[in-house]
Amino acid sequence: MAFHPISTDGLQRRAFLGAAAAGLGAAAAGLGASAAGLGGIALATLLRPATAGMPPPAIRPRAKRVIFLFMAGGPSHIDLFDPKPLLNRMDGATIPPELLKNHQQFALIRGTPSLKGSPYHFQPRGQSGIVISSLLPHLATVADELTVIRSMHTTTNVHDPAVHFLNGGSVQGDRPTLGAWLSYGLGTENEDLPAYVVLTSGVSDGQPLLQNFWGNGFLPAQHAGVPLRNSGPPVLHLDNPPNVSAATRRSELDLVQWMNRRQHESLGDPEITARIASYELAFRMQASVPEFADLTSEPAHQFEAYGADPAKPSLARNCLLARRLVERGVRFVQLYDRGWDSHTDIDAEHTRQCAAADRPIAALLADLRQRGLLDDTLVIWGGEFGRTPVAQVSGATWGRDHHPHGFTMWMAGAGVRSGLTYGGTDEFGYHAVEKPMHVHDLHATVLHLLGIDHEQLTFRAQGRDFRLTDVAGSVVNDLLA
Amino acid sequence: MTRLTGTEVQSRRRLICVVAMLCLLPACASDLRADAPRVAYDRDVRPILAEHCFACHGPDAAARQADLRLDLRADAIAAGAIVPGKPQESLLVRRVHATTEEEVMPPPSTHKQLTSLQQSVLSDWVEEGADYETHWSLVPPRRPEVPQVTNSAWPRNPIDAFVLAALEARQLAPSPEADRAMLVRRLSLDLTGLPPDPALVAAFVADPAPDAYERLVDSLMASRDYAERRAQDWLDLARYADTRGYADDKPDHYWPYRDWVVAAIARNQPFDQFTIEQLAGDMLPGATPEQQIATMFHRQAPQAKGNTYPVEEYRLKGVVDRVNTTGAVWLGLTVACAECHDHKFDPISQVDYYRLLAIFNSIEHGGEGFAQGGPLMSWESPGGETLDVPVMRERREPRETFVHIRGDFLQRGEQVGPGVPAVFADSAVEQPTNRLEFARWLVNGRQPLVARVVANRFWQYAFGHGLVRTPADFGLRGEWPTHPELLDWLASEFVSSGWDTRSLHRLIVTSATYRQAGRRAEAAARIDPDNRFLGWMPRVRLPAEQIRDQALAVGGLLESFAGGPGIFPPQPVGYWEDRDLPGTWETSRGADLHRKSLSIYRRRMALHPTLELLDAPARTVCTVQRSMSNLPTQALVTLNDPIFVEAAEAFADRILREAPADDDARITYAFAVSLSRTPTEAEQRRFLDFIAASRVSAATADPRRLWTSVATVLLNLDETLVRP
Repeated sequence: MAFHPISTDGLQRRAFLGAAAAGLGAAAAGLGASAAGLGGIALATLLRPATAGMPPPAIRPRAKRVIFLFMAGGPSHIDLFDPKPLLNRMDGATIPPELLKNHQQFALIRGTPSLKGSPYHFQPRGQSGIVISSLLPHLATVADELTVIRSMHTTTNVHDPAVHFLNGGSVQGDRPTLGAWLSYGLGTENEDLPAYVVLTSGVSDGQPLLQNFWGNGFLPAQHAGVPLRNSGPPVLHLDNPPNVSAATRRSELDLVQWMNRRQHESLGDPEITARIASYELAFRMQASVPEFADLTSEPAHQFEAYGADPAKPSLARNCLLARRLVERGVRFVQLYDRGWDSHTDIDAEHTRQCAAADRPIAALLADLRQRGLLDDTLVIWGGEFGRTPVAQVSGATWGRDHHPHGFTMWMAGAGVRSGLTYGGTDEFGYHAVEKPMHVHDLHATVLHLLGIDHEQLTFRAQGRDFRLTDVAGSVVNDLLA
Repeated sequence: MTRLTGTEVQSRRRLICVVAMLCLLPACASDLRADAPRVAYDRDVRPILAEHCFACHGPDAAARQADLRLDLRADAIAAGAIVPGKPQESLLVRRVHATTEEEVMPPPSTHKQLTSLQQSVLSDWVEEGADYETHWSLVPPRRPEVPQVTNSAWPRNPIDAFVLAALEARQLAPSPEADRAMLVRRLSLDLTGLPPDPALVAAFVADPAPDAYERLVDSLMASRDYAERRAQDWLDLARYADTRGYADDKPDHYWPYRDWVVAAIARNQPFDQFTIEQLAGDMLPGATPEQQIATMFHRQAPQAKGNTYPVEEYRLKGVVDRVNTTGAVWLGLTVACAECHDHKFDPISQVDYYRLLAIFNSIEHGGEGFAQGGPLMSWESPGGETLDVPVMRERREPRETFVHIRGDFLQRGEQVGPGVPAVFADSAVEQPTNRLEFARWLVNGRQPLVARVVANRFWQYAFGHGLVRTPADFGLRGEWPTHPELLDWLASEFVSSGWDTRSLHRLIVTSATYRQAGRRAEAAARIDPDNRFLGWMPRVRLPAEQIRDQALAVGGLLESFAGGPGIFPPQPVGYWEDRDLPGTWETSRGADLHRKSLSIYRRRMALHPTLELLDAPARTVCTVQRSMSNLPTQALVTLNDPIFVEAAEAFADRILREAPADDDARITYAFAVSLSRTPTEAEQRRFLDFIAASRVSAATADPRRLWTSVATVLLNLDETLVRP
């Protein structure tokens, strides 16, 4: 387990899983590795789940891994998934005051704005009749794979706290993110790749990608996401210096390891064994990372299907890489696609974003389905919030502000009820009113799909047990297949 | 070992004990209670109640079930939960032993059932009379007697008597003293953050004087490097960085504070004054510019500026961070829990929290959007520039402070005035009404926590873990100290020395405990695998900054810390741009390229990746103990990061330049510089073989290339990366 070279914490974390079968495969591998490193301690702690307290109820894991398509900036639910005939009819009217009750303020809009309908054409798609706008024609072809949640809501309308919330269940950026929790809870299935990988694409809209978007918070550092770079070697410092061949490096490492083994014999410190393993894994990653990142083995029709240029960074290329990563057992792949923050020219910007995202995401779902990977891979799509049903700017170009009170996300794949449209906003697309689903509920449901009880996956920090879902969150059973 | 947080270790200890019992290994199970046959409430019982019961039957009034409190003896007895001396009649004991789902406590839904060991602790305790005690850390330390030990020849100072007594109580013996070359390396890395010069090693090894060790400690502690190394630890607590945090993450002139910390430590400013100046230097009569710069400590709460942030919400977030950081750094309490509700475990109510908040709530803050912020002071830098530096300044009229229901800044509850938590009332003759009075209360010598918390941190700096392994949590759910009396002894010694941190540190590193060999002692490890009782010296991986500094020092490249604005060592091209972070990383030139890592520019939202990958904290929040991981991505840094490649090449050049021109002498020289010792015969042979094999291949035959390989090997050894 490359990123769990000494699994002392791993031993602890398995305890939270109890009988969750998803964990056991990975756990068994991890325990083997760590037993070698830690001798008796590993065996002792291994026994804990079976002996201490009452095991938590078993949850059948439906998903083994996750691809999270994070549309950073906040895509407009009103223009993509949530048509509002009344809003269209009242286009230009002043916002009804009752919508603004218990409402702090908009992020950027000042004064009283006007309603803004959607100019895009919506129609039911596939057998399920899931409604998708004309901006996403390719996604429409795989509509039956989707579970569209129209009643999402979150707690803030400021970008980075909202991103933190969707990632880590808190507006503070110091909490572990979903991928870190999964790495901690389930480990990795591939010894030679990180459990949590982050890919980035899109257009700059002034919203930076912050280090703590993929942070481990208070979890041990090996659970942090590893951002892959779009240029140069995908992992920092992966390549040997130019004048050092693989053979030279190997002979250097042989000497390092010879010295380290002597050191271990003389001091008996188990950390030395772990360091020996880390150096070997680093050497193996020098082969395994370029292997997954090398797209030359993909047939031409795949590039066509995804709309990807293998030489150019893009969401399309990242979708293809994401498939290759989950194929190799990476637990959590998060794709950040930037450029959805359309305040002033939504038509141009959402058209551009959809043109870049629509085909590859549809292709990814189809590809995962065709390979059987969609059976145990969960795909999640969404942004940190939606966009206001009122115009921030109107006229020839128009735009929408940040909107946390009601927006759309979708899931597909392992364990979710495909073809379902769940929940709803009011007739203006403003507040989530029908089966409102908070981000905490989303987290509870995602963990449930991975076989984890969100109330049981905890970590003791700062004097208390923290959860991804804080003190809230309910599994939304209606979404489960 | 060091990568485990206190929490993990704590859980592991519990696990090991539970499992050991099940495996019928009585030595381990009884170890918890080795020196006290009676059940002690504070040590044995309260942790069980805190973990399993207090959430619903504890101090938090809002969450309380069945109107039952188990944290107060009178309440528990009145409710029939406890009948002292009669476990069979005590509802507490009966309910935790119950077998039906309806009756058993804690309820099955909590998945927190007691183990049989925990059940029996509770019955024994009730049987013995169910005595309660005030939590140890809330009782002011009293200076304990130095214990008697059997092996009276071993202790060098009182610390050792406490450590040895705990070992002897477990039929264990300390390890022999480390060899002298290792001692000088250990001291040098711990005290200065740098490996010792080979000449220093040779001089110490050859020095027969009985006080050679103490003189070495004194000379290292007198160095500028010592102050710089300690400053790094303090800056983790102060969440010092060069930018404000949040998405805009703009730079500000914070570095004068970093330089102030170095200077204050260099002149060994007493910790009480060090505290007062940082928390309230601006309020001292005739405050000097330096005393005002010290107040930047609390201007480093991350600040959001921008047109989408509600000003008041983010101002308050900054105040909350000040309270939480003060709690962690001085009180060792997780006061943060009480922001939203009464603390579930510690006696800190939500009102207490907002009284603390009121102390920090009256710092000037004004403006809107990007223009908002706290006060700036015009200051002339040593370079002669006039800078506006962020400082604290008190408003003329204090702000009103309200309890915020569930921590929501929009929902105001009752109004509260400033004050310390009620539980500390005894230590405050008068309630502090502002920051200055509060800071003085912290260091008045009667406050029960501060001296212990600081002494514990210095223990952590020497041994990798504190005597309390949860250094920011001395509360009910924190760990019990491994050596409670030693902690109290150190705390009272520290206060009576006039808060002299250097003499506290000196006491620790001159002990026989600290001088032990680092070999894992098998006998001790069998019953104390985590080495909590220090039967051998823990090895500690070097922090990120020291790994870089050591490589540069070994390569002969390292430039001293010069203060002033941050420096920019090489960073991968496009590192900020790829994440859309504004600004450009302009790599430093000349000497700045190789300056000590303390100087590196720290951007909160994108720390230099070499530091980040080696576990340096981003410092968005106060860090009391770094994570110390052991990962393949770190091996890639020390093998391939251009910073380390350059250091290895420079080390090769140094070997070729400085050592006599034969392989044996070069190997000996390289070992002395990088590992502070001579190679063994076997090592010499193996390195010679490596060199001979490399000469055969055209790719590595070039002497510089060949010795760069040797240098790379030496810079990547476990022995190099770990403080012995």
